[in-house]
Amino acid sequence: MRSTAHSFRNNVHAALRDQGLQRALHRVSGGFADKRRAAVEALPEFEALRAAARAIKDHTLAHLDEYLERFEARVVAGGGTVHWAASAAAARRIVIDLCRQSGARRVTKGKTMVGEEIAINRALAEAGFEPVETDLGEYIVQLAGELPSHIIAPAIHKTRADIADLFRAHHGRQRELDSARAIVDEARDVMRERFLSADVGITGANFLVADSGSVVLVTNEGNGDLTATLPQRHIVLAGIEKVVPTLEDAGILLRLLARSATGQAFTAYTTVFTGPRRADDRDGPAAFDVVLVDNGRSAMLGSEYREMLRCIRCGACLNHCPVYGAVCGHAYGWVYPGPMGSVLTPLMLGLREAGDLPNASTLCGRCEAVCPVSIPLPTLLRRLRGRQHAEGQAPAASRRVLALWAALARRPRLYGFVMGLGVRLLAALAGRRGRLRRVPGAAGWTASRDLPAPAGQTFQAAWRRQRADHAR
Amino acid sequence: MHDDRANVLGAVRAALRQGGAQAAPPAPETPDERLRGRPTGPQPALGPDRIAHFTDQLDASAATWTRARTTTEAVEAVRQVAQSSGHSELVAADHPSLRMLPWPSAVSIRFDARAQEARCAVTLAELGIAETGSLLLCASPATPTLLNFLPDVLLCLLPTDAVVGHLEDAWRWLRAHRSPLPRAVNLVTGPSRTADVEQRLQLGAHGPRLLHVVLVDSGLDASIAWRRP
Amino acid sequence: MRVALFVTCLADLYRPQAGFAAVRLLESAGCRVEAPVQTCCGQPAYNNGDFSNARAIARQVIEAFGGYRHVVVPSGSCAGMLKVHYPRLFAEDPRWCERARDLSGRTHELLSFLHDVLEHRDFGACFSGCVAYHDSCSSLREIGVQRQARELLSRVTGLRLAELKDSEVCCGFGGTFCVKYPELSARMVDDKARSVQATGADALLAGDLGCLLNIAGRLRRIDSKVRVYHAAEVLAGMADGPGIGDRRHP
Repeated sequence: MRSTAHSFRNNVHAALRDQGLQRALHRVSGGFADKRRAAVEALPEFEALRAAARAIKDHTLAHLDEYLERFEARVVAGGGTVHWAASAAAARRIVIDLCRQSGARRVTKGKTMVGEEIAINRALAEAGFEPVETDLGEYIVQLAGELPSHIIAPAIHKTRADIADLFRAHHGRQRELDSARAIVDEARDVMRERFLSADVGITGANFLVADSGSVVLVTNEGNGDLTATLPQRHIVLAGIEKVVPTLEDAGILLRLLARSATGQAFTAYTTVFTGPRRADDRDGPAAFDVVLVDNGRSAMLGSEYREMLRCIRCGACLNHCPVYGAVCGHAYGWVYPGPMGSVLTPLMLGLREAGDLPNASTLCGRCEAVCPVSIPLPTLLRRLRGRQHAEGQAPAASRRVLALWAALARRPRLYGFVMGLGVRLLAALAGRRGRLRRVPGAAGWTASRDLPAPAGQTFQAAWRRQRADHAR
Repeated sequence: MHDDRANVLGAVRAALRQGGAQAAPPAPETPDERLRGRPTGPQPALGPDRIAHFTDQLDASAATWTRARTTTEAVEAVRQVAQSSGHSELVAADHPSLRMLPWPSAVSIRFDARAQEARCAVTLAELGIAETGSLLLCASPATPTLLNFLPDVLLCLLPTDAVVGHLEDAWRWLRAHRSPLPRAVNLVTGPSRTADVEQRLQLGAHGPRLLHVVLVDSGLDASIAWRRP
Repeated sequence: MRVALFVTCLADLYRPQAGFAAVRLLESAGCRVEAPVQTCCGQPAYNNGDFSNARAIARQVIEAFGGYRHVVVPSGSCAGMLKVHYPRLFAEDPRWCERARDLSGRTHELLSFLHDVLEHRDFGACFSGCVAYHDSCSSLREIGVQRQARELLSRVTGLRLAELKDSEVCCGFGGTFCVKYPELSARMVDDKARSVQATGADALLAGDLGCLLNIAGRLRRIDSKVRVYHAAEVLAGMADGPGIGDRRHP
């Protein structure tokens, strides 16, 4: 889908006023954070695992070319094929070609963020295929014609009533659907038919294992496995940063993934796929294709943003971000929301498109504190702000004010004089009331807050006077 | 077909030469060394009783389970669970270890290469992993992957002495006994589930609603099917 | 013991009472307090990506506070700036990096200095009422003074401490964030203000004036009676007068 990141402020405005969304967010609020906390408290080895995970990722990224080549060699040895895509367009071309080769009509899809990133559904539809999302949350947003709002819970913004309406409109069954159970049962029913009739299944990958040429995929629903097993061709879409050296390394990351995402120790289905079906297998795809997608990742690798490539897409940062918690994912305008999206979207789409994202943060640091691979998100956000400043992209008014502040701060005597006048004025304006309801030029503050009055004399002026009195 | 292999690998190599990251450089281990050594990282501590840990994790994952001392107890457990979930006919994977079990003549059981099409099916797992309460099921002619996903009710037998401690034990076992790896190795932890509707947990999203594990203390050898003449 | 007070621009300009409270606490713990001429730690420039001005200001601070064994800061975020970020600012400049690291080692947030370094924990203060304490993000994640603040407050006679729900969630100040993204900031500060009200506390305390001005501003706007002080003011027994944003006494 096209990015609306450039409309971030409008998106935020709309999201804060969207009563349905706010009710849904209120219902969810704190839930993921509480579950994660419980899971972490139950695992004394958690911090040691975090350190190990970070080390595995850093090591792998430092040797990414070798591990990708090793992965490719093992996939090919096992009867699969590896394709390389430098760009989103290249990845789309490869997937379309593979679907054509399979004479496909219907294509089932497990959840894949890279799939959203390259907008594969639209490309498939335009090429005459019928893409069907199988993850229930993704299926719901597909019916609604929307982007997922959360990377783990794509339809978190939808109420049961919303979903029931969508199902009634699209399934043509006149069922009541007055409970979550009824909705899930209907989805299971409708989806089963689609699973069985798919010609090609596209999934993402949580990890690519170089040692064995395997793809690790986790789901709670089991849709990933049905997508990968029923059709005659299984296509795996994966960013190049998904590779890890061994199954042992995948296991370390798996120990952190579900706990960080949903608070579970392990997801219901963790599958290691290795190649196409064997001669005596009774099911499985005849063709196994892995599409390795660059799309800006190699550029990140060579930059001061390399640490972002550690990301295992758990969603913990989103779940702990107060900004995300207030507006949910669509406000961020593209595939990746929250703190990780505020780094990735500008890096992938450019700061001109996504300039608000790195700035719409107090740098509170909660994201970094919960990231299983310790990505220094506030540092990366500040670095993006540095780039904006260097390229003159900050809005003129704020640049001027900040430049003025800095100029004064560098001149202590002038600062003391000017600020002394300023606080005396403000204090006088506020008078006895001690606060101001309106201050010209500070509407951003006073729209929702009073401005407390300053004392009227600065600490330093009073301090020096005291010292002078003392001396006498 | 247009392929960017040289392009992508070239870009990755150029990026690595450039340096990037301001973080401290990682330990100077080479890929060859890591792939040879397959180092193990931190593992969650298990209690002194591995089986108890396993069954605690089964409980936490919403799987149900029975412990059977003998194969007679095991088949009785299977019959009971199938019956109480409304299935009088049992369909089992066409696996020699399942055929060998002492199914009472009163029990209607069919061994079917297409057991995955049944609504209630019986299979067996090669390993259990205590750390997570997972069953390890490998794709094989007798145990196709779909058997783990299509039925509503899945009954899974597991030799008690096939419960290993950690994920690493499972990986080691696979490399020793299932090399090259099967097309699919499923680590199944409880029934299928979703919380996508208002964050309320529902079981049986696309896979089984009910997963029942029967731990069999003696008489069950899950690996028989792999021993081909 | 001679210590230098880095009073912070917000205390200097807005709430000198917090600075004087810090002085009283340090003096009653046996320190001789000096306050060299100072302006700002440079956070506004730094957090807006203006690293060049941030470095210029940092160099000024490093110079001004070079001669003191201990630099004490009544703010988690400014202390964090000096301790954590100054060395990063000069990562490419070995000489200034060394000086920044040196200053970092000598810099302490006020409450942790009193509690951990001076080990002076009881200042004989009284405060009758229930108090909610807000942990600023820097205090939690850059400096780590969650425990110390509560221990010091627990020794104030008559003071009852109420825990804020979601105390680890940002109040929405974030420096220029609160004026650049006012709608988001308004939501965050409103959530925080309601948490404060829900405790039934008479007063809200924190160790950071940015948070305090922000939350006080919202509390006053919703006509809450909760009084807002810097934690140092209560600890120093200087919380009898008007709180932040309160009516002045005649």
